[in-house]
Amino acid sequence: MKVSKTIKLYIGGAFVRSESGRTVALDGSGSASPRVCLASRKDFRNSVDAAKKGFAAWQKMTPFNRSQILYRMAEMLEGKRHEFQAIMPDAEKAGSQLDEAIDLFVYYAGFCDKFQQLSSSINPVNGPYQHTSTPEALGVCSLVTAADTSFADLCGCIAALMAGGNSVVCLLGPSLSPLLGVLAEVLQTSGLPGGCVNLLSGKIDELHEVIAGHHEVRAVACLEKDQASTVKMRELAAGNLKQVLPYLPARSIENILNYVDYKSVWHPQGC
Amino acid sequence: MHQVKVRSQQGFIPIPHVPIDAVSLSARTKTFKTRSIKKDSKLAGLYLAIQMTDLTTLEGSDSLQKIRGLCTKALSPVSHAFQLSLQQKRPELPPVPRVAAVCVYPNFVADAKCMLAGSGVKVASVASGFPAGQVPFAIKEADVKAAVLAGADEVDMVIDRGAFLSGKYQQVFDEIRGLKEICGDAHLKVILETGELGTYDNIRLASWLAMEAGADFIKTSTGKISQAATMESTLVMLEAIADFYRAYGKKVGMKPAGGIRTAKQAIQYLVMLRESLGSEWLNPDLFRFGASSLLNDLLRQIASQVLGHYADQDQFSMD
Amino acid sequence: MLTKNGEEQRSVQTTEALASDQRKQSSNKGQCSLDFAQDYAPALESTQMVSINSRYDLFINGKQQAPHSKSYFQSINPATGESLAEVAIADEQDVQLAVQSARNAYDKVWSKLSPAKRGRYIYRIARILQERAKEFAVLETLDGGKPIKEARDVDIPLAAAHFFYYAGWADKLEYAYPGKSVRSLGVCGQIIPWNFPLLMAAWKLAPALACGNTCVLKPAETTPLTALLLSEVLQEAELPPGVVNIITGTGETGSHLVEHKGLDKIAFTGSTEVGKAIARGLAPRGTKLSLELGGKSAHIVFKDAAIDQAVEGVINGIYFNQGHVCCAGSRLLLEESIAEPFIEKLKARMQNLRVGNPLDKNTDIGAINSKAQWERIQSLIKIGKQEPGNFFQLDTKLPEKGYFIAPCFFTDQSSSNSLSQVEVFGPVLSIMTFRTPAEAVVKANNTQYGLAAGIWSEKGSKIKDVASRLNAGVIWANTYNKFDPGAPFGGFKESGYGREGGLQGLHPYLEVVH
Repeated sequence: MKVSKTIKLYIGGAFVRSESGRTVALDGSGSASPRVCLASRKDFRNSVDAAKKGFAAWQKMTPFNRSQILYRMAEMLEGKRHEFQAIMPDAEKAGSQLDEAIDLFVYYAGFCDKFQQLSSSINPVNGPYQHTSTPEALGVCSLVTAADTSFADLCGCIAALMAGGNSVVCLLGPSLSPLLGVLAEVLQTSGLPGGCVNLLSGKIDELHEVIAGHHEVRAVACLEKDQASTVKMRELAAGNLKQVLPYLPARSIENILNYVDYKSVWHPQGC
Repeated sequence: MHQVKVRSQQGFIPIPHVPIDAVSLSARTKTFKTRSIKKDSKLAGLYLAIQMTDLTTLEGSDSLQKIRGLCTKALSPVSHAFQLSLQQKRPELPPVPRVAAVCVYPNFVADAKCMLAGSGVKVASVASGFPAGQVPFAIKEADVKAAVLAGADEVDMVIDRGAFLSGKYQQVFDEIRGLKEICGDAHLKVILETGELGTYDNIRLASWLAMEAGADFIKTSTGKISQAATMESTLVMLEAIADFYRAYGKKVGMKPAGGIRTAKQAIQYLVMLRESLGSEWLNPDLFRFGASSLLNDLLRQIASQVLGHYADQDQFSMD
Repeated sequence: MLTKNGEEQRSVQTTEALASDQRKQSSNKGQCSLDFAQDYAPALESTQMVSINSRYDLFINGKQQAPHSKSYFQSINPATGESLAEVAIADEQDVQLAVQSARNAYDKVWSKLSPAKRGRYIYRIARILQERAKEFAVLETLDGGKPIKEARDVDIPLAAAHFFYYAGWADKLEYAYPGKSVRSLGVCGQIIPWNFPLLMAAWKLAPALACGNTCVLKPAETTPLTALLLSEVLQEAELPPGVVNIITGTGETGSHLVEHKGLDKIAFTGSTEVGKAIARGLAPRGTKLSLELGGKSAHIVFKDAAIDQAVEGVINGIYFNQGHVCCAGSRLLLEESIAEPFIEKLKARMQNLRVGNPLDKNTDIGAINSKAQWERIQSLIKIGKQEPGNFFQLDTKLPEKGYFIAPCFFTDQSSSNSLSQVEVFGPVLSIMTFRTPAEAVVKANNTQYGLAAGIWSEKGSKIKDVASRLNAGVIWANTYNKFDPGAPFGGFKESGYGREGGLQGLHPYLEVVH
């Protein structure tokens, strides 16, 4: 007889059940198949609180250290290849997805300490001032997957947001939630401070309101394309002026720069 | 930040370090320059600037005749005919005033004093090893003593910039104190030679040091180096005076000297004075211009303001 | 003071010199007393070079056109309350016409022009603006109430500089995005506020045009005249018809523009409330949007600051342009140990602020932009007075006509006071204290906004640290309210998104192609 297990949510570096107690069977095929939690609005709010702490911790690290951790995540992912493949339905596709995800972690790891140089400027203002513009992380970002989001895109988007210095609350749809547990183990074992990345499984329709309306979430990376729920999120996000932004399924600095704000600092030069 | 302290009979006096932001300071002086001073405001400024002028000659070639010319000009800056033409045009105007003082070397104090007797025009003398201040203190004392004995109403001393820059604040303080004592009733103006102090922070520090030591006036420059008074260095000193007044209730005077040649500049300084220290400083007891060629430009501007046309340079004495 | 009989008289004042009001109203009659301590004689800028039409139409497709609505509104000089001209109100059909004309111009002319040629047109605009600067300055002052010295020394030169700066970008865009190519967006709808009318028009138009877009610009209701004069400049520069269209009107006109389906991009500068409404309205379409919204910017003064310059910075930070500045340093955070003497210095400094006729070259604080804004500021001051804290206002004679408010501040404020939270957009400062840098940062960030902040300290490492921890898009360290075409401007949080100015200011008007 198989031992059934419920895949918990990953919040603040810990595996927790949904406070709502709600779970759902993954493929609806019998009692022994794994179940996932259905995150509630409260779970989301708790995740944002955790992500705020995670953001502070992530910011405290130097870009070099952030880079090392992202690379470590690629290594840990590699180490769990078999576990991932066991969960992913299509074994052949699973291999290439995993390769791509690992590649993306490595790619964005390398950006942690470079995108600033590529996007900063010293501005030649008309006067005796030094004036610089540099990118700064937005803070807590939320990542919402679509029904067809691939595992590689999920990892690429997480990596890009983290490379920019943000912390993330991810909401995984049904296709990706079976992988939540293994992915969380990767995060937990790669030296990432708790709260930097939080993983929820749940229903977008239940949560888009709280995601878009939460003032402490500074941006939403939305992997859906102009679905009704995306429009709804944009409308709600307007109320606190956060942007609902796309993720480009490509290796691109734009995926980092979409999630930063530029800070411009003036200082006089004179003695 | 190491705290500057000087010793006096009363104990230690702290000299506060007040940092100055150069760029913002300069921006502030530009706001004074963009004031548009017209009509009677301008005329009032021109008259006031004359009253505040220390008509100066400090040349190796100064002679009795040169001093005589200067004093005559101090007594009657304009001809009778010019005065008359002003009054014909604007009968309600007061006559063109006299300058505040003549400023000379100690050798000419007695002569100047004699020529200006009873006029209200003061005699100021530079002393203390002017302009470098690099002579033994005994000689500075003797220099000041001679000027005072000869009748100087005011003494313009220089600080030893070398001592100041090498951190010998006590020495600078003591010298000012010592010379102040010798001055007796004569007013002491302390020349900081701002152009040699290097930073605005230093100008501020030196201003405070001089005021603590008893300066009646602080003065920017000797006029003997290329960088003389600037709006910026003057503003630093005015702000120091304001803070000194807030701290002790004592009003110290200010004298920018050197480089102020035009009426336009003089009015910009007066605007700065008015908008920093306020109207109570707008009088010759608390503000002077050290200048030699300024007076004639002030007179020309008065002519143009009242008579409506620019006067010929030669209408005014070039002495 | 020198009197007729030649006697020297010291002006005797009983009040403390440094804090006394130096303005004396009039001299004795019959005797001329030349007194420099009196208020400066009026130095009025001549208005002769500006000819204001009695009526202004819309600027569509390169021509002045009467509005389909057939209706007009009055543009008021807030310094007198009198009408300057009547200005067309664009209705839905006028907006349609303007967008259509911009679309045609984009498709047929502007997108086909070589980038270098685009740049040349923009350079021309810059030059003509420089040549006609004085005319623009006087008109800006008449229409908006700002002091002529600010219009002359800040608004107009910066507007021209903005065109000049972005003109040069037109044929260098590929260097801004190495390894990628970029393309223009199409037709931009741009809505600008009334606080810097021409300058905001320049901030919007210059980068949009340089990036190859065409524009429909909607100036603010109370200040349309300089934008309309700009339309003459565009004609003089022979900018192809329809590349820039200027439609005037009320907020309703702005709504029509935002709701128009034919726009590829909307840029808005104004209140956070309207910004949110626009973002909501655009949600279904996902039209590219940049927003530059409100602020309640903190101005932090540490005890190790250059105090006298910090006083200047604070004055400039809040009273520049009557406080009608989105990035105004409207919350002053003073280190507690210097709060008292600092406030004394502030009061003394305020005595030299001259409030009055904006056309007087010596006026520091002009007219409040409109009656509505005047009423809003007065009501906020009233609220402030009812709450805990103390109030200080410059005691000065205000003109009898027009909308004027003497500069003022509230002391002993906390973050829960209304005036520490609400954007006043007027000459009203809210003063709080803090004890440590950490507390200063917490208080500074304790707002929905994140536009700007000021820091005054002579300790470099402290400035760097505090600057890095402030949530604000623009940080002025040991200065305030400096603007430059090369300097990106824009906020964090509810102050909006996107940057205007500099290299980063290109991004809102381009699409990056991979």
